[in-house]
Formats: sequence, C-alpha cells, structure tokens
Amino acid sequence: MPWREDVVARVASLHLRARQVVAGLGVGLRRSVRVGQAVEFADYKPYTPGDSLRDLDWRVLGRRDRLVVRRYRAETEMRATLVLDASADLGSTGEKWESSVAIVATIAYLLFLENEPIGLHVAAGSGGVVLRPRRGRAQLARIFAALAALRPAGRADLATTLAAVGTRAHDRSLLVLVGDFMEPTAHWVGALDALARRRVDLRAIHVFDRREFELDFAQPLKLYSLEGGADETLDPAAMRESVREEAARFVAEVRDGVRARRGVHHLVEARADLVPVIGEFLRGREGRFG
Amino acid sequence: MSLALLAPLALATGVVLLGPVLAHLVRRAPTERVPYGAMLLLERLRIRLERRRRLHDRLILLLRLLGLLGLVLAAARPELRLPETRTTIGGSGRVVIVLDTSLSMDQRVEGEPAFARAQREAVSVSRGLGEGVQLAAITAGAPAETLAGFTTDHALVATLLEATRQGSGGTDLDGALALARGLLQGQPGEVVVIGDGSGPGRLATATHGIERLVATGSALLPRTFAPALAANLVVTEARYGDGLEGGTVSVTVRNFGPAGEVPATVRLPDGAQMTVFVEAPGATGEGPAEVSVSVTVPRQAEGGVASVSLADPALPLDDTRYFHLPRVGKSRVLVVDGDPGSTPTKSEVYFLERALAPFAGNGAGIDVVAPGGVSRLVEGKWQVAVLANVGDPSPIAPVLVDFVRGGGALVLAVGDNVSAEVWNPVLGGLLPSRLGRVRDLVALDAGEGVPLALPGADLELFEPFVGAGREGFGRVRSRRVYSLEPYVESSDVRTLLRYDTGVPALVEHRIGRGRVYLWTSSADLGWTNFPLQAIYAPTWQRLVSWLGAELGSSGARVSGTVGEPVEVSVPIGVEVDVTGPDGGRVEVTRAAGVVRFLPSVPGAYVVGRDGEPRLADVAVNTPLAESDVRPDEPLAEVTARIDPDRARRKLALDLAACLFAATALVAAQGLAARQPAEEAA
Repeated sequence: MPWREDVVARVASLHLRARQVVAGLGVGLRRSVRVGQAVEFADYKPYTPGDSLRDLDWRVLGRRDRLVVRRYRAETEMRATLVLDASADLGSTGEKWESSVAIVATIAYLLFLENEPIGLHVAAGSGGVVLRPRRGRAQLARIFAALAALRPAGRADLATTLAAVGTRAHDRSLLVLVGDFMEPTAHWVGALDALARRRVDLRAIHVFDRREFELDFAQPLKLYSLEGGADETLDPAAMRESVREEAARFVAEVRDGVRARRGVHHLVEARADLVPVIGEFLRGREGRFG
Repeated sequence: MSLALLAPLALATGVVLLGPVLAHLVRRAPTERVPYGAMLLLERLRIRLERRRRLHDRLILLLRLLGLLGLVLAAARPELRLPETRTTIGGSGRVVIVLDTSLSMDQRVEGEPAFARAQREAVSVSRGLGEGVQLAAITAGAPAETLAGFTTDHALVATLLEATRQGSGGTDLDGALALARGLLQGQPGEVVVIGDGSGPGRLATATHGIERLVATGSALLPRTFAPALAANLVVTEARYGDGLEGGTVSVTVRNFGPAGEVPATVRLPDGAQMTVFVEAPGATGEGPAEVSVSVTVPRQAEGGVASVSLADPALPLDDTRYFHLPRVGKSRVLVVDGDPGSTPTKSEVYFLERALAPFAGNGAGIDVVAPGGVSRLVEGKWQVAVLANVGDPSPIAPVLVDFVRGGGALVLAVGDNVSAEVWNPVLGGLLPSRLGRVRDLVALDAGEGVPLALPGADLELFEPFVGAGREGFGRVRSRRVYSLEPYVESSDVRTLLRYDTGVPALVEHRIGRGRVYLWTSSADLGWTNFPLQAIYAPTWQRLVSWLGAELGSSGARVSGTVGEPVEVSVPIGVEVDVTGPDGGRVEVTRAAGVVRFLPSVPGAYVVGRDGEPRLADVAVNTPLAESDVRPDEPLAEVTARIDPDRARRKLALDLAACLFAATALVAAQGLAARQPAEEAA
C-alpha cells in the first residue's frame, strides 16, 4: 500500500477509537457459548444412557451414589470474518460510514486481543478488499489500513458478497456483517442460508441514520441516491410518517431474515455511542428501531 | 330513448372543463437536491402507494369533471325522451276494444285458452271506463266484425263481449283497424288490441292500417295473452296416394315447439280409423320442424272426406285436418264381349279376366255379358264398362250414354267386328272422334308392329309406371288400328297414348263426370301383341283402379278454409243445399251455376240435394297461418316505429337538480381531496 499521510492518520485514529471503546467496555475476554469436550469444567448433568463413561464423575458416585456426567467449556479457535458494506449510500451521511468503520475496527481489535484469526471482506467501496482470516498484529494493521483507505462508492451486491464469503467460511466461525442493508431483502437474505447450514455465528450490525429513516428535512426537496437513479421529489412533512412506517417494516424484514438463519440482528443508530453498542454486541442483544 | 338540448350553445361552457385538467397536470417542482441513502424505502413506499394514489387522483379528477358537467348540463337544459307507457284508456273520450277471436287464441295460457283471458280483460276494460266515455267493440277474427258501435252503455258492450265465442279462422287485424277507423271517423281515441301476438309477419299486413290510425292521433294499446313458450303441432298436408299395391295417406306434421311424440289418427269416411305415432323433431331458431309419415289405408274404402287428428293439447282447434279420399278398391268392371273367340287366346275376355283376376280378388269384380245381356247398367254397381269388339252397339248405346253421363267410365276396344259406319252414328256422342278407317301400320302377317311411344310423365293415369315399368309400353306393338277423324286436343279430349308414328292409341273423352277411353286397336291378339306384354295386366289394373278412384266419389272435390268463401259449381237451374259437419244446413248464396258459402268451422261439407247423389264434397280446414304460434313483433314496437314522437314522453332535466348534483359532486371531490396528503404528493 502506498504511503498516504491521511490514511496513516486515519489508521491511528481508528486504533485509538477501538482501544477507547474496548477500554470503556472493561472486558477483553470472549467465552464460547458452545459446550463440549475441553479442559475447563462447566457443570454437571444427570447421566443418561449413551453418555460416555469417561465423563462420569466417579467421586460424586462414590460420595452421593448418583450418576452424573461432567461437562466442559470449550475453548476453541474462532475464525472471524468481518464483512463491511461500503456502497455509496453509506456515505450519504458521514455518520453512517464513520460509525460502520469504527464498529468493524473495534470488533477487529477485540478479536485481536483474543488472538483470534480475523478476516475482512468489503462489498463495493473505493477498492475491493478481501483479507483472509489471520492472527496477529500485522493482520490487525492490515485491516486498519484497509479500513482507513476505504471510501464508500458503487453499489453493494450483498447476495454476491455473501455467497463468496459463505463458500470460504469455516464451520462454526464468526461472521460479522456491517452495513445499512439497503437492498431489497428478497435479493440477499437467501444467501445467508449457506452460512446457517455451516452453523456460522452470524451477527448482522444494521447501521442506520435516524435522519434518513424519519425524513428529517425541512421543506420539499429532491432526494437522490449516490448509487444513481432518478431523483425523487417529495414533501418531507407529508411523507414523514409513511417513510417511518416503511423503515420499520424494512428493519423488521431484515431482522426476521437474519433470525430465520439463526443469526443475531443488531440495529445501530449512526450517531450512537459505540461503547454500549459493542457491549450489546458482545452480549448478543438486539437493538430496536422505532 | 333520445336526448335533446334546449340550449345547445351552453355546451360551449364546457371549455371550463379544461381548467381542472390543467391544474391537475401542472405541479411546482422544488429545486434543492439532497443525497439520500435510504432511497430503497421510498421505492418500496412508492410501489405500495402507486395504485391507491393513482385511483385516488383519478377519482378526484372524475368528481371535479362530473361537477362541472352538471353545471354545463344545468345551463344546456337537456331533455330526455323515454318510451311512452302510460296512456290512459278513455282519456280521449273514445275507446275501441279489438278482441282477437282467431284460432290461435285457443293457445293455452296457464291452463286455460288465451281467448278466455282476453275476453275477461276486454270485459274488465269495458267495465272500468269512466262515465261518458264512448265505447265500441270489434272482433278481429277473419272477417273482422263490429260487435258494438260507440255507446256509453259500457255494460251492454261488456255483455256482448262476454257472449262472443272464439272462431276457427284467421286473424283480420287490418280489417279490425279499418273498422275502428270508421268508428272513430278521424277523431283520436284509444284502440285496445287484445290478442295473443303470435304469428310472425302477421302485423306486417296491418302496418298500413296502424299508420292511418296513428295519423289521426289515436293510440294503440296492446294487451297480449300468450304462453311463455310457443308450442304447437299441426298437420299441414294430408294426401291420399294410390299405387298398384294399394293406397297410403301421406301426413306432414309441422312442429312449432319442442320435440315430442304424438299420436295421429286417420279417420276414413266409412268410419275406419288408423293410428300412428308421429315423432316430431323440435323447432329450431331457424323455424319449425317438419316430419312426414305414411298411413296405409285398407284396400277397400269409401271415397269422401277423411281426416287426420293429432292429440296435441297446445292448440286443440287446429289438431284435425280434412282431406279428400277417393274410393279405394271397390270398382266393378262389366265386360261386354262382342267376339267370343273359338280359342281362349282369340278372346278379348280371356285376357281381361286374367289381367283383372288378382285385382278382382281385392274387392273389385268383373262381370262378362254378351251385348244382348246389357239391358241397363245398374247405378253404382259398375264403375267401369269395357266394350270389346262389339259389332253393333246400337241396342245398348242409350244405356252406355246414360252410364257415362252418370259418371261411369267406358272403355272401347275395336276389332274385326267393328265398323265405323255402325259405330259413328250410334256412339258418336261418346267417341272422342269419329272412327275413320282400319289402318294397317304394317302388314298384318308381319312379325312385329309399330311400338307405342312411352306415355307422358305428366299423366296421372301412368304415374305408378316408372323406370322399366314405363319402358314396358315400348314393347307393345300393333299392326292394325282404327284411324280417327282429325280432332283437337282439349280439356275434354286428350290423347293418352300414341304409337311411334304418331297414330293415336288411347284417347280420352270427358263427358261431364264420366269418361270414355278409346283403344284404337284390338283387346286380343288379333291386331296387337299388347295382351302378351308384361305391362298388360298392370295397365288394366291401374286403369280400373284409377277410374274407380276418380269417379268413385259421386261428387266433385273442393277444398276450403275457415273464414274464406267457398265456391262450388253446380248445374244451372239446380237448387242445392250445403250441409255442414254437424249435419245442419249452411247459409249459402246462389248465383248462376255457382253456390257460395262461408264455412265457420273445419270439417266435411256436402253440396247436393236430399236423396240425390252429392254434387261436391268440401274439405274445410283451419288456416295454416293461425297454427304458427311463434311470437310476432310486439304491436307496441310497431306503433313506436311508425310514430316515434307520439310514442315517447319528454323529460327535461331540472335546473335545480343539475345544480344540486353539481354542488354535491364538488363537495364530494373536496372530501376526497382531504385524504392523507402524502398519497396525493
């Protein structure tokens, strides 16, 4: 990558912001929710025929005359792929884009701290970026550099992007999808099926600008898309309620589509503080619009 | 229905309709452009609202246009013209009731004759008129008659209408309207026509009468009583046809309704009756269906008027059709043998007996006598007499003349015994032409003679002979014949057969109701080979059968129709009576050589004098047009077509109503425009 001062400065900025968010969280460890064979004890469960006798707790049997099986918390490698929608519409308001990039950077930093392999896949944008999951500081630097150099541009084709990611994703890996998802849901939600079949831990971080969803404009105007297409002339006051309702319907469609594939849908307002956002992300809680 | 404008120029104000159209099309467009990252939402919203918004916009536009149209109409004051349906009976002070009494009124409407209902309606109209209204009544059964002239005594007219009976004749609506015009004498009035409205094209004959009536300002008010579904079976033709093997009656049935099977009974004059079932196909949209059946009649039957009856409940009065039946198979033949041969083959009688033997077994008879044995020909015993080679017929000539004049048939065959000098003076009145001389067509000892030319196809006598049978006449050859003095072909004298050379072979002479047939050759093998030909026996059988049928019924055969005058020729100076089907005397008018009467019912009428042979049998039938019960064009439509202005009433749109409607429409569009503003954006 050629030396560019603004990119370096942005990398530094991203790094700093990610660290601040993580610091604000007060946590740095990730625990897998999966239960299976590993070294760290989790809990007991009553013995049922079919359980391996190797897991039988002989001590409990000796003391209490009960058959129980020990269960362990798995501590396994989690390969993570971060997918960022960099289509031109993300740049319609600066907050949407900045927020999306910061979320991706923060999650990358968190995973780096856990020493997990991290990959990055950018849909559309000023330059195509595909970084396969790797560990280490150098990978984090590559991700930060790519994010810093990226500008929203073009049309994102989520269906194609997800299909490409899905073919490479490992079973039970983590996939974080960040963007505004401004494509007809029927076009791309089906592409999540391949991820669901591989039991990928799907996190869809849906970034929106409340000003756009509530049509927060003062007077009649012409709206246009940075991705092209005809202008739309409208009276914001007259259309506001309808657009708000339509936005709610759209968010619900996206959420239902993700949930149907055993994913988690996080709705993030572009101007929101990222600390609670990432906190919710780590706890697997969904946000809500409207 | 038509529309007229009282102020057509006011339509020019319609240009204001352009106002809302232009306002609808012109919109102010903002200039500020802002990038928007959620265009997908607008796209989804636009698709969702597209249909509703489009409908809403059009609804508002429509309401605005209708509102303005209401204003324009209020200014233009349109006038709507609707068909007139509410003419008051008696409004003009003169009412004529025309009651259809024709045969078709016998159709059943909800179980009773249409005439009964029409009669009740006529009585009801009569009794329902206000005091002082002049009322008259006319029957429209052919011929139309005035039942009552104008009177204010409505009860009297009602009583006369109640006493009216239905006829079996046709409809005379034109005559009835002419009578109505005569009663009204150019004054307007209401003519109430009460009928069944059936019979396609029947009204067309009365169009001129309707025009003339309407021209006087009168109104025609139809009252129609007809079954919902037209149905009727009628015998359109019944005809006896005989043949060598016996006779049949061909019956043609026409069906105006749905398909069905109906029994048809043929009743002969002697009381015999035969029943067959007629499977009649249903009428189609193109017209009624027809089917023909044949009924074999007995080998012996009296001549006279026979009938065919259908068991059809739809229109009972037309179920029976009468037709003439000739005497069948009851002829007796008298052969006067003038030359008993020395051997059977030299005897004319030998061949004649054998030719007629099978025929005689079927009821006919043959009697053979010598010339001296014929003192008198018993009336009615023989229908045909054959004079075979009788040399001197003078002793029996008066008997023969009386026989022929009485309607008998005389067949004359010549031979060696016959002499022109003897026959011409004695039988000159009977002969079609005086005998000339004996003429040898070829040498008498030659093997073959001159053949007969084939008989004309138009001769009824030879009708049964077709194909090879007809060609059989060509094998008849004669060597010698009697020539005839020149004669002129006429309705009384006809040459039925000729030889190839043109020489007459068989000549007919009609004398009154009698016939004389002259065979110019011999009846045995002397001059001809005719007795040896296969055609010989059938020819004699046909001749005797045909003559028996033609002459068997003692009177002439006349056909007539109910309601139409029937004329019968009678001998001048002879007073005759006409007896109706019920045996009663029928009123007649007499002129020189003609008697006329007007049959009122169908059936067999007899013209003659008591105790004497009948002069004519008259088969009277109902008019076939009345049997066509398909609905005609409604009278109201015909009247409306003739005088559309009078038949319509005008309805001008009210100014206040138009204004009110316009205001309401404007208000409605205002309410519609208050829909959520985003849908209109």
